Amino acid sequence: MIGRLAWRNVWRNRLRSLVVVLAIASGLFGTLFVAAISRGMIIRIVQSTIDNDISDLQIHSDKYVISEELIDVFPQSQLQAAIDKNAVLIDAYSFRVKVEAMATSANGSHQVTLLGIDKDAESRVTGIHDLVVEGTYFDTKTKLKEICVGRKLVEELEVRLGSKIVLSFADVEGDIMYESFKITGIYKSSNSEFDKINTYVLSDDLIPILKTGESNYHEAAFRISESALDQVYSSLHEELPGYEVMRWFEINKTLRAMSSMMDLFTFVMVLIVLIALIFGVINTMLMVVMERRKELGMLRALGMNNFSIGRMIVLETVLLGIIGSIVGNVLTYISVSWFGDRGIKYASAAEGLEQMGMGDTLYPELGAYTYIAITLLVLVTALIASIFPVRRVFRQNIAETLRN
Amino acid sequence: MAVIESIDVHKTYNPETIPVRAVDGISVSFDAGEFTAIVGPSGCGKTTFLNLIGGLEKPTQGKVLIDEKDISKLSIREMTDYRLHNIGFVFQAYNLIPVMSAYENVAFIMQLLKFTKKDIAERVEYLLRTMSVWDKRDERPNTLSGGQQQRVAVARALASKPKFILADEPTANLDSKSTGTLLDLMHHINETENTTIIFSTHDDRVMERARRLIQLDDGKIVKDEHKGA
Ligand SMILES: Nc1ncnc2c1ncn2[C@@H]1O[C@H](COP(=O)(O)OP(=O)(O)O)[C@@H](O)[C@H]1O
Ligand SMILES: [Mg+2]
Repeated sequence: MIGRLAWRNVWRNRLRSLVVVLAIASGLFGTLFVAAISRGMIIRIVQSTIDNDISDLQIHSDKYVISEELIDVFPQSQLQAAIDKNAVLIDAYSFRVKVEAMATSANGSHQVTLLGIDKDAESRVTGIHDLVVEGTYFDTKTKLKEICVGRKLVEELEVRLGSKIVLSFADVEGDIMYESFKITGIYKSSNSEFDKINTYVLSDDLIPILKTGESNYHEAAFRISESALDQVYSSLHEELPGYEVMRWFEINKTLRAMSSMMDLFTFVMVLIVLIALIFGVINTMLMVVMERRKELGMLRALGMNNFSIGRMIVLETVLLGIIGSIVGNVLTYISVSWFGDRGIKYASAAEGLEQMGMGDTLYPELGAYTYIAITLLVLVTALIASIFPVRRVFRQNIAETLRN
Repeated sequence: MAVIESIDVHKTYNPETIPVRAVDGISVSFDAGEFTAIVGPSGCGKTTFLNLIGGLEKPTQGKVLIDEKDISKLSIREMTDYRLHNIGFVFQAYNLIPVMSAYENVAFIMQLLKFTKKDIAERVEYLLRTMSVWDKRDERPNTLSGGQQQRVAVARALASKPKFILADEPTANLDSKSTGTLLDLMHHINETENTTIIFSTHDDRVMERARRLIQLDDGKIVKDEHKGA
């Protein structure tokens, strides 16, 4: 009954209630949409880093992690048993050799990381093959050694598809080797810095030059679903002493820090907005109880006790908050879904965004828990805000309010 | 036996600065079934006196006994509860909850008292019919005339089956026809339900209808007369 009374009271002054509801809704919408864009950026950075670069889990010889010496390779056979044991939980894996090299063309040179891969295995682990914008991913019938490079590197070296570039690097004995490769594939990821550095050749071409020995690799990269990651990690960690087994967030520590920083940032923003809103709500509710002074006095005179009166005013405040947060959440949800599918193209800042690994398009994204957390926060805010009008009513002398 | 008894009751406002002796030593008792008018010019203390015996204000001196129980000793919370259970109020204005229908306004008090749905439905219908506003049951107060609103207010005051009804100038905002109707109905209730009714007025035609007249001046009783019962 008090609930019904409170609900009707909220709509007594439709315009005023709508203004409060819209203030809450737009405050939340603004904050949440910005949060969703930031979150979308972070998720994209994390996802593209995992997809194209570090994968979910990597294994190196524990010496390689410290020294990155060419010599610290491991034979594939040593890992195979441990991998087979977890085969059901591992989606894909790829072995790589890896060397720092200098890429040189007639017009320039640039330092790169040269990865020797197996085409099929690597295609299952990284998304580079999907990012090829010119040429193919090691699918050209050529007698020359193929190389797949990033668009950004192509620009740096002022070369094009079909050009030959020379890569120089030390072999396992320390002798500098020069090898010429033909650019048969050019890829473009959402991260231009990545594209400048990471170049791919076939391990069958690279291993003989490096002289690291057949089926010896520096790195094994794995794709493992999130739910299985920890289990596989423990198993591999146990099975493979002398190896460094690392999950994505151990390989790139900033990735996870970025996500939690973004959560904190969102929370602080929401808090500031809510503090601003709380004053608006308090002000409105104080006006409401002042206007209804006589009526509230009448109800109290009749014998409606402070608990019921208080409950009614708290409910009215909370209803304003809840309606506001529902409207805000719905607006946010619609916009986030709409732009989350289509993306917000941000042409003027594209270069900067691409350097940070976010591509040129922003895809807002927001977790379900954010909506729930926000609604709860608004509820708490409304509860706090209702203290003031309730106290105001309790302080009023009943007889006084009833006098004309 | 007296339902209400006031013993040398005083109420002084602003005792520290400019004291106003709104009620200045009133001793009087009301028996069950009385139909009494408190009369006197504006500012003579009618509202203050009704507030004192209605437990809305505490006397600065003296006692108010209801069924021989001193209500001025009750805490604010007990007093609220006491009003809910024992006293029906009708005010000059702002009697009804604007967002509720006539029916809901009367039912409201019974809901606070936790009457069963069935009891509420029966009594609200009976009261609204008695007060001739049953056909207005679904209307909100702002669509009712002043007289109809006051009749709903009387119905609401009766809903909890109180020991007595206090009505502070219930007819002050009504035209003479509505005033007549309201008084007829109050009379009728007083007779059929034997409800004790005390109301205040400064209207001569209204006071004529009372069976007992208590006249106040400057917070004191200057005349207390029973008309042939
Ligand atoms: N809260 C108050 N503070 C000071 N004086 C008051 C207050 N309430 C009423 N009074 C004074 O008390 C006297 C009696 O008032 P009231 O009981 O309202 O008279 P009536 O109802 O007969 O018009 C008046 O002089 C009025 O001005
Ligand atoms: Mg008065």
